Amino acid sequence: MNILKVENIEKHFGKNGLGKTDFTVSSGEYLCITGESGCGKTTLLNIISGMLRPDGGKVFLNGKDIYGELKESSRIALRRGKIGYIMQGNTLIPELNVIHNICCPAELRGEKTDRETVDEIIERLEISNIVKSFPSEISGGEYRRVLLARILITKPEILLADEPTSNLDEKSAAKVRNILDEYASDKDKLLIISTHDNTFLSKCSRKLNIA
Amino acid sequence: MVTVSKFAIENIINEKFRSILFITFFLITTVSVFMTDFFIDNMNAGLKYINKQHLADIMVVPSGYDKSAKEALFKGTACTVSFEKDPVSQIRLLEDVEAVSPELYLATLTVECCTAGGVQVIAIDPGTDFTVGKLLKSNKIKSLGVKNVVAGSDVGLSKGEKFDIYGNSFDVIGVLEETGTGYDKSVFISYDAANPITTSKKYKNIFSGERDLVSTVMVNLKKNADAEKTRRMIEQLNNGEGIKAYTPDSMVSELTEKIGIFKDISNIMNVFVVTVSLAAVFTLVSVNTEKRKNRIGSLLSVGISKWTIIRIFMNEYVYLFITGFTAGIILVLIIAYSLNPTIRQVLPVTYKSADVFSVFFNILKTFAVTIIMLAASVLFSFVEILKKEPAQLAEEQV
Repeated sequence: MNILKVENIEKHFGKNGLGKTDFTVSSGEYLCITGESGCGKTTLLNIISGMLRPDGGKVFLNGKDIYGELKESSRIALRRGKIGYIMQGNTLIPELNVIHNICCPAELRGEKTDRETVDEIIERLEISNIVKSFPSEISGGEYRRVLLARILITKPEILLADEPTSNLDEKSAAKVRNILDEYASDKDKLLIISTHDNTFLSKCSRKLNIA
Repeated sequence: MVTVSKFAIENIINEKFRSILFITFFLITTVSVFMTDFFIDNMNAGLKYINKQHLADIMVVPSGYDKSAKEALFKGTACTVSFEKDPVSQIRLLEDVEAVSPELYLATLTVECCTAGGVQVIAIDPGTDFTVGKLLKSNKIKSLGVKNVVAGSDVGLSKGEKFDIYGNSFDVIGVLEETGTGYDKSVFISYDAANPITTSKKYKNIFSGERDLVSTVMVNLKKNADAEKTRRMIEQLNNGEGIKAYTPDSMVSELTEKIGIFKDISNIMNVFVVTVSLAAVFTLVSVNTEKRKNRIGSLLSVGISKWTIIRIFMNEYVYLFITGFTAGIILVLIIAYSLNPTIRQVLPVTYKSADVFSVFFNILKTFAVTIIMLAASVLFSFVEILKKEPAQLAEEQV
C-alpha cells in the first residue's frame, strides 16, 4: 500500500509554472490531472517522480519527504520499481533498437532482465514484430507502447504518465488506454496521468484540475 | 545485453563525423607534443654523445671554411676543404699540445648506396688519430688498410660490401655505431689510401696534386692546460691567417643554443596547438552534452544513476582519446624512423636516436598532457550533469 501526499507544492518558471497544489492519493486509485496547456501538469509529474525539486511544499511517499529526507541518488532509485514515469515526447534512445531500449534500464545497472517478463509484456503490448526495429522506424503508437513496456518491466507500484495518448490515432490511443486501464485495475497499483483525453477522464477514480 | 561500454560504442558509431573530429584533435595534439619531445630528445642525444665522447680539446679548421667543416663534423654535409698551409707541425710544437690528429675531408658525388647528397669521405691516420681512432677501437676495428673503408651508421653500407670512390674500389670492413654526428654519414679511409687520390693527375683540379692534405686538425691538450689560451695561440699561427680554432664548449654551446631555439619555438607551437585542441574538444563535448540532454533526462527517468550516465560519456571519450592518441604516436614513430635520413639532413644540429626509455617517457608525458586536456574539456559538462535536476536536463520535459 503506497500513500502519496502532495503538500502545498509550487514551482515557477518566470510567469509560468505550478501554483500551490495539495492532494493525497493511495494504491488502488486512478488519478487524472487536467488543466490548460502550460498550467504545470508536466511540472507536477516531474516533482512527484522525484525529477524536479519544487520551489516550495513537500512530497511525501509513505510518510517520507522525498526532497527533504532523500538524497538525489535515492530519488533516482525510486524510479527503479517503486515509481514508473512515462515522460512526454521521444525519450527512447535512438541508437538502440526496441528490445535494447526496453531492457537497457536494468542492463545498464548490471542487472539481468527477466526474459519471461519481457516476452510477456512485449506480447501484451503487441510489439513483438518490432523488437529489432529502431525508434525511428516505428509508428507513434508503437513508440508509446515501447515506452510503456520499458516502464512496465520494472513492475512499478506507482505509474505516472504524461499525456500518454497525445498525437496518437484512435486505434493506437485505444491500445494504450487498455494497457493503462489494465494497470489501474490492480488494487495494489496507483496510476496518475496528465491528460486531455476524455476517455481517461471518464474512467479515472479521481480528477485533479490545475488552474 | 546493453552495457555501459556497448552504449558508448553505439554512440561513437552513430555519430561518425563528431567521432572523427574528436579523434583528429586528439591525434593533432599527440603528434604535436610527442613529435617535439621526440625530436628534441634525439637532438640532445647527439649532443650528449659529443660531450661524452669528447672528440678533441680543440678543433682547428681553415678560416672561411669553418662553417663547412663544422657542418661536416656535426651533420655530415659533404665538403672538400683543406688548409692552404698545413698547420699540423706548428701546432704540434705548441707547449700545451699533447696530440694532434689531422683529418682530410673529401666529398664525393652521390654514390650508389642510399645516402642522399653525396658522402663525406674522411681520411685519417689510423695509427695516431684519437677521434675516429677511438671510434674504431670502440667498434672493435683493429686496422684500416689501404684498400679498406669503415662506414658510418647512416651511410647505407654493410660489412663486406664494395665502395668505389675517385676510381678506387675499397672493401667495407666495418660499420660504426650511431653517434648522432656527421660521422654517421661519413666513410673513413686511411691517409695512405687518400694520398694516391689527392696526388693523382686526374683529380689535380680538386686536390692540386698534393699529398697529406689537411681539412681539420683535432688537438688534445696536456692535463690542466688552458684550452682557451692554446686556441688563441693556434689562431695566431701563420701570422694569424687562414686558421680558425674552436674549443668543444664553443662548438657545443652553438648547438645547445640552436636546440634551445628549436625547443622554444616548438613549445610555443605546442601551447598553441594544445590550447586550440582544448577549445575544440571542450566545444565538442559541450555541444555533445547539450544535444544529448534529452537522452540523459530519459535515462534518469528510468532510474539510471548520474554516475552510470557519466561512465557512458567517459567510456566514449576514452575510446576516442585512445584511438587518436595511439594513431598519433604510431604516426610520429613512422615519420621519425622512415624519414630519419631526411630529418637529420634538415635539422641544423646533431641527431641521434634516443634510447627506448626516453621514447617511453615521452609517450607517458604526451599521454599525461592529452589526458589532462580531455579531463579539462569534459569536467564542465560532467559538473553540469551532476549539478542539474534530472528534469532540467530533459529540458523539454519540464
